[in-house]
Amino acid sequence: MALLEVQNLKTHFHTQDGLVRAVDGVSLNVEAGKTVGIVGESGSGKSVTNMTILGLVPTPPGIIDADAILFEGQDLRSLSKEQLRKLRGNRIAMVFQDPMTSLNPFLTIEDQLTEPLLIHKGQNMDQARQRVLQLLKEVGIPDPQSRLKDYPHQFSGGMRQRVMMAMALVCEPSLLICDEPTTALDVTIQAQILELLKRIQKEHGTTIIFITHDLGVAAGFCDEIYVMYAGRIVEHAQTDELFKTPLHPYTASLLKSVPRLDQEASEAFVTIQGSPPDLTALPAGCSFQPRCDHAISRCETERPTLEEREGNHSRQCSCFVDLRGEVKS
Amino acid sequence: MFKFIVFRLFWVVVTVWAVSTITFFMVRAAPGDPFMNEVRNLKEEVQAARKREYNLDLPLIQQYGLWLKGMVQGDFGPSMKSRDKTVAQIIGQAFPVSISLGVIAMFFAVMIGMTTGVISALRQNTFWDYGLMGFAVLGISIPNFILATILIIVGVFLLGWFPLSGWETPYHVLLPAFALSLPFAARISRLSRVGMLEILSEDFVRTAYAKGLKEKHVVIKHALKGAILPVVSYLGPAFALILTGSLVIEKIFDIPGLGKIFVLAAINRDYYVVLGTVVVFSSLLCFFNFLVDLSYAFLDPRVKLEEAA
Amino acid sequence: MNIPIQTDDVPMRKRPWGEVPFAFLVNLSWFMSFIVGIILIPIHDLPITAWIAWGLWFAINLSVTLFLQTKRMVPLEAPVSKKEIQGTSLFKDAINRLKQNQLATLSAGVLILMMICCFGQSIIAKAIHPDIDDPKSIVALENSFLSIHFDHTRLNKEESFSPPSTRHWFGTDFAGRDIFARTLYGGTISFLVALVATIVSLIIGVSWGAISGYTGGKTDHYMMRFVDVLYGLPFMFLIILIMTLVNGVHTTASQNRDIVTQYEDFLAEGKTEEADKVLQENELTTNLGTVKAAIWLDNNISPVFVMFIAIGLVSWLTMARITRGQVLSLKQREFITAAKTIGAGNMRIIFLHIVPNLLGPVIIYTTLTIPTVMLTESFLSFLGLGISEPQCSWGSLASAGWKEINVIKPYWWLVAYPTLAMFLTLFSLNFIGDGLRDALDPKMKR
Repeated sequence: MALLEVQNLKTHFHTQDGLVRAVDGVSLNVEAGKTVGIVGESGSGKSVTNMTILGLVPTPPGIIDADAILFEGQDLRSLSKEQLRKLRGNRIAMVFQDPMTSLNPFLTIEDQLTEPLLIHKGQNMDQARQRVLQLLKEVGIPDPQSRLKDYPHQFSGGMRQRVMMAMALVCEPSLLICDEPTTALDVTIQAQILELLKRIQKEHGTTIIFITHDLGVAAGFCDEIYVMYAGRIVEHAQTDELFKTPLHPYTASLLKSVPRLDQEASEAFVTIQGSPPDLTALPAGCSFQPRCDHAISRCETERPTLEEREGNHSRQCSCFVDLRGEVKS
Repeated sequence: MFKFIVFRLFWVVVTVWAVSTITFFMVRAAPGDPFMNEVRNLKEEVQAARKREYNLDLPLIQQYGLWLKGMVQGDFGPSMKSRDKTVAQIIGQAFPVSISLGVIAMFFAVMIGMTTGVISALRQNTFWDYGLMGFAVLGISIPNFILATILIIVGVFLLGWFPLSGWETPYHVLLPAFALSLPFAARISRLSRVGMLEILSEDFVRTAYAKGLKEKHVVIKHALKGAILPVVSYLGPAFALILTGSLVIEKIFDIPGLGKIFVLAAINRDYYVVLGTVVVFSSLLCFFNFLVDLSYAFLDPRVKLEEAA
Repeated sequence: MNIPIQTDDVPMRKRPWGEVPFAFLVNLSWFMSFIVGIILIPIHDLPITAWIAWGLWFAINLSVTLFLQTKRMVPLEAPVSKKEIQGTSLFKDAINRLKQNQLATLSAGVLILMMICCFGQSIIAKAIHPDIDDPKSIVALENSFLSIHFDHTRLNKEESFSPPSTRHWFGTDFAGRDIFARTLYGGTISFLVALVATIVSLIIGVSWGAISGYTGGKTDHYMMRFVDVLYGLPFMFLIILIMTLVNGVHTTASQNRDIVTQYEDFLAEGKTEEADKVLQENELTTNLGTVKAAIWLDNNISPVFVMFIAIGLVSWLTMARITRGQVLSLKQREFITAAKTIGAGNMRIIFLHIVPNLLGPVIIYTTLTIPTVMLTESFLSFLGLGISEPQCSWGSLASAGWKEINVIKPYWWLVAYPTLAMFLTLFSLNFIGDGLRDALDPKMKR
């Protein structure tokens, strides 16, 4: 049974400029113990999807609709606000992008890290402190005892992100959602953080959803990948397959546009023509169609749906023109 | 930290000295003297004798020096109107009254202001928000003597809860302090609303909710410390304005405070009383500003004290 | 808000009220009709025709509003057409946002209307009573419509303290002067005080802060140290002192002016004995010098002017701090370095680059200073130190009226109307300030 199953999630926002379809029919299937990547550019809806799952999207101005959001078998939509709150930070935890702004600058890390334990596990301060020290050691903070009373601004960038992760792991969640955890860090630190995540997953069996816009990072880290564009999933496959034979034109363009070390210096960079979509005014047919090199007339009028390929439910694509040349009828 | 405190206290003393010196020369600069408005038939010799008594026949600089010396020793000089009291005595009687009025008003202002501001921020764009902020704008659009009058009409005449004037029982304190606090409560309300809204849109608040914390917990433990900063910055100037606002309130409610004494002394050219009051108020103000700056270090761990200095 | 509703042919959307043409005028009309209604109620002998007229106005408002409501359904613009991205300058962007803020535009409308009424009254009064500024001009008891309602110096002892009526819309004061005219005239003075004091505070504050911030280093440090010291001054006390002195000077001068003139006339004619007698009779032998000084001061410096400057001096400190803060952060910005790299000199940098970016916070702070100034002025009037007769401002009218009122003489109209006028003005200024802040703040998360 999947740990997390999302069916046809829609999150729309009423704004002064129109109805923003941030998430427009997303379905995810996350098996326990796996590392699932969600890749897409800014505005593709990857963060909003996860915020919606966690219940962190305020409902005015947001409008949320889904066929199902199942976590460990429970439908999250049927839970009360209180029940949902008890899951957050406890069974499902989130690590955010920028640790400098995501940690409270006015509180010590001891304060912030012990909070989930005090609230969700009903521990007292001593017990919580012990657990936090253990976790800080595990994420690689040297001499944690002396750093408990420190404030976030007294840590370096990489250390801060480790603290964030410790905070997320403190209640031993079964699902860890990481929203671009390495984007704000430089490359060497990035590698360290990814190592840490891998280790944690191996040791604790935590399921990880990894959100990023960086394909390279996703390649090295995730078991399977969902590619999102304009609020919809355009392709889903195991990592190797995705990189070997991408089916959706967008995925292919993304792969092509990553600069390679063995490129000739005189070669121009490959870019995806056009500009990111206006989420209040999506085209009638396929959302990627205005920028697609392979579009046919059908793409302008009909909106494609995410469908299985090769009869494999973990290999999906949402396109009328398969890059292997098959045209869906 | 210690260095900071010493440094700042030194500046407090310098400021108070500067203020009193400026005041001294300003008060004496105007044409006329304390006895102008008195019984106009005073004979010349009597006038001269009076002047000698108060050292008014000496050169100005010498008067200043004498006065300064006296001040340092705690002698504020004699009053020229109430001839049986020294300035120190007059101020000593009225000071506790004014200071209690001011402190209670400040307390009301912060309590009322912050509560309404936070509620407005949490329930943004709802009826609560518009209603409370509407009241807040009222508080800063009407002169305080009118506000006080309205409160008197309601509190004394309509409801009969409060006595009209005087300063005997605790009940006498409540209405004047409340009237005094209202414009400041209004301003603090708007400030804390803005501050709170800004903090609530910060990432770390999002993290707090993602950890599964309750709204009350997030607001009080996580958001409040940051939201309070613009309010704290305002407290310094607010205190000065509360001191001056008390002039009007003391007059309306007939409270024997320092404000009334100051205005009378200014009109009557009772130099030493005026100077004494200015020195007292100025010291209060400087000291209060110093406390405010000190508090930044406790509120925001990112602030190093040298920056605050 | 914009909920797409499918009709058979063209998708329509309901646009918000603010986008409807003439919405601003309709809002203003509604607001004014309510204010006028409130004013009409206490007028006890109002003929029915007035109420009918008001009812008509109300009905027109209603029908126009209902009509415009039907204009709210508008075709949904075709989404695929790429809207041309026009570069908007920060100001154009801000003005657009401000235009959408209905509260701010309504407030601006109310404010402008008030100013028109007040300055209009001055013009009318001057026209029908040309030597209105000369305190010695005796007012003939004119009974023309304009004179009754717009001449703020028109005296009529028999009509003193009359409540609001058709003859005197806002009632009369102790001398039978029409409060409506007095309120409008007071408005002119109040606006003038606010303007001058704010300009004083602006000039001193912005210059101080800009120079301090831009120069940096030790100069900056000491300039700001000076500001900090001044923060410790209980300013209001000093203002009270200044105003008391000024008033004292004024009183001395007015009491003794004729006597001194007499004395000097005698001296000029060589009649030293008579001159000395004059002095002796009026006890001026010892302090002639001071009295002369007082007269000279009073002749050359108007007390009102001193008050303007004094009030302006109170608020420049915060203006200086804000400006300095802005300049400091602007200095670091890359565009300043860029300008320097292409060889722009300091003056050019200051005027072309820094000043436009200063305007935002400065304008906002100005709209918040004006209420403070007006309230300070009313505070001074209450203590007896503000504008003196026959001039008046809203603050002085309200405090003078307040002093007249007691249980036997509940002349509420003396206080209510000036207060209402002040309240409307300050209310509007606050909302305009808020609107400006929202419009000019680039960090706004929409």
